[in-house]
Amino acid sequence: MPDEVLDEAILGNLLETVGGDRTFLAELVEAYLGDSPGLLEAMRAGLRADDRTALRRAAHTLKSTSASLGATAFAALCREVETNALEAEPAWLDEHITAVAGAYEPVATALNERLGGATA
Amino acid sequence: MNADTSGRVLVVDDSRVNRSLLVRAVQEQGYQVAEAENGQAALAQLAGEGGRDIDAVLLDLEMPELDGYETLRRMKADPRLRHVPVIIISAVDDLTSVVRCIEMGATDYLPRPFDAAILRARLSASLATKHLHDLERQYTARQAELLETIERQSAELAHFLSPQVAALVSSQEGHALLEGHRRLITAVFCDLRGFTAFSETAEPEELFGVLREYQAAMGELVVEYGGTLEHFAGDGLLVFFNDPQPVADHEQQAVRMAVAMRGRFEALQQRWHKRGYDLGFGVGIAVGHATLGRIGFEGRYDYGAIGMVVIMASRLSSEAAAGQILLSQRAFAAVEDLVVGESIGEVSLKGFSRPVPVHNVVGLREEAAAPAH
Repeated sequence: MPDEVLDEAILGNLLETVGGDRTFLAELVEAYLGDSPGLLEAMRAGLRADDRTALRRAAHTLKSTSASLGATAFAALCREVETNALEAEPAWLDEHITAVAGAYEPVATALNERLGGATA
Repeated sequence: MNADTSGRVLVVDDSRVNRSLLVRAVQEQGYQVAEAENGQAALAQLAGEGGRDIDAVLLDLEMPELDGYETLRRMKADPRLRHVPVIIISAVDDLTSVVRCIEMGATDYLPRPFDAAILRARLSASLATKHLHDLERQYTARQAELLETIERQSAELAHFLSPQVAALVSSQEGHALLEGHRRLITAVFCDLRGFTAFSETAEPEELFGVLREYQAAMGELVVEYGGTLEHFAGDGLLVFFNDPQPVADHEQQAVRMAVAMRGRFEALQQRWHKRGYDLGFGVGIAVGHATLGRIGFEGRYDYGAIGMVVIMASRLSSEAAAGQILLSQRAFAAVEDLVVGESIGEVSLKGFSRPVPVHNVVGLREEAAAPAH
C-alpha cells in the first residue's frame, strides 16, 4: 500500500535475488543513501537552470533505484516529476520536487532501519 | 543457483545502485557478469576483446552518453552483434518503451523491481536462444568448410582420375553408379609394339621421357573425344566410351579418337625414330556390355570395367600390327559408314572359343574426318 514506506514483498524478493546476502544489501543501501541527496539537488538545479532533461534524468534515476529497494510510494512521486519534467510549469515542478524531498527522509530512515549496516 | 553456468551477461545501467544490484543478482543465477555504465561503454566492450564471449545484454534505457534505444539500434545494425540477445530493463508501468524496443529487435524485457524467478526465466530463455544461434553458426561455418574441402578434393582428384570419374565421385547419383552397373560401352585398348624390348635396353630417363610424351599426347586426345580413361599401365591404355557419361554414337567417337591417336603417334614416332627407337602403335576396339563401377579394395579403388568387351579389345590390340586399328564385328558394324575398312578375316583370339571376324580401320571417310563433339 502506498502509505507503507517500504514494500515488504519487494524487500523479500530483493533478499532472495542476492542470495540472502544482508551485508551486500547494507552496502547497496549505503550507496543509495550516498547518491540520493545529490539526485534531489540535481532536480532542483535542473529546474533553476531550466535544464529539463537533467531534471528528468535525475528524477528517473531516483525513481528506479527507489523502486528497486522497495520504496514504491516514493518512487511514484519521483515518477510524477519525471513524466512531467519537460512540459510542466516551473511552479508545479517546484511544488512536486519539494514533496519528493520531503518524502525522502522517512525512506532513508526506514531503509537504514530495515536493511542498514546495524542489522547486518 | 542455476545449474547452467555457461553464459556471460553484460549489465548496462548508469545508476551504480541498480547496476550493482543487477550484477549481484545475475551472479547469483550462476552466470558470469561484465558491466558498463552507459551505451557507449557497452558497445566498446562488445566490440573489444572478450566481446565475443558475451551471451546476453541486460540494457537500461535512460542513460547519459548513449541511451538504451540507440545502443539497441546500433547493436541490431551490426552484423557481429545482431544475434546477441538484448533484455530491456524497464519500469513495470512503462510498457510503451518495452513495445518500442521489442520492435527494434530486443529479445525480452525485465520489469523493475524484479524478482529472482523472473530474472532466471528471462536469462535462461535468452541464453538458450543465443546458444542455439551459436550452434547454428558453427554448423553453417563447418558446412562451408566441408564444401570447400570437397571442392578442393574433387579438383585435386581430377588430376588423378578421368574428369568423368572425378565428377562422379562428388555427385549425388555417383554413389549408385560406383556401386556397379551394366552398360553398353565401346572399349579401346592401345599399346606399343616393340615397347618391351625398348624398355629392357633404354636408360630409365629415355624410357620415362618416351612414356611421358606418349601418355601426354594420348591423354589429351582421350579428353578431347570425351572418353573415360580407365588406366595407363606403362604403354598400355584402356579407354571406354558411354560410361559414366552417356556418349551419343560412342562407337564412332571411339574410332575417331583411335584414328587421331594413330596420327599423333606417327608424329611422335618420326622423332623417336631419329633417336633410334623402333616403336609401333596398335589399337583394339570392341563393343559390348560390361559391368562398371568401383573395383579394388579398401584404401585403393579404381573405377573400372569388367567384361568380355574389355578382354576382346585387349586381345585385338595384341593382335594388331604397328599402325593397325582392329575392330570387332560389332564395332565395325556400328562404324561402317564412317570408316574405310578392310577385313582381316577370322582371327583366333586367346580366351575365345571360335575365331572372330576382324576389320582394320584404314582411315576415315573424307567427309567424316573432323572430330564430332
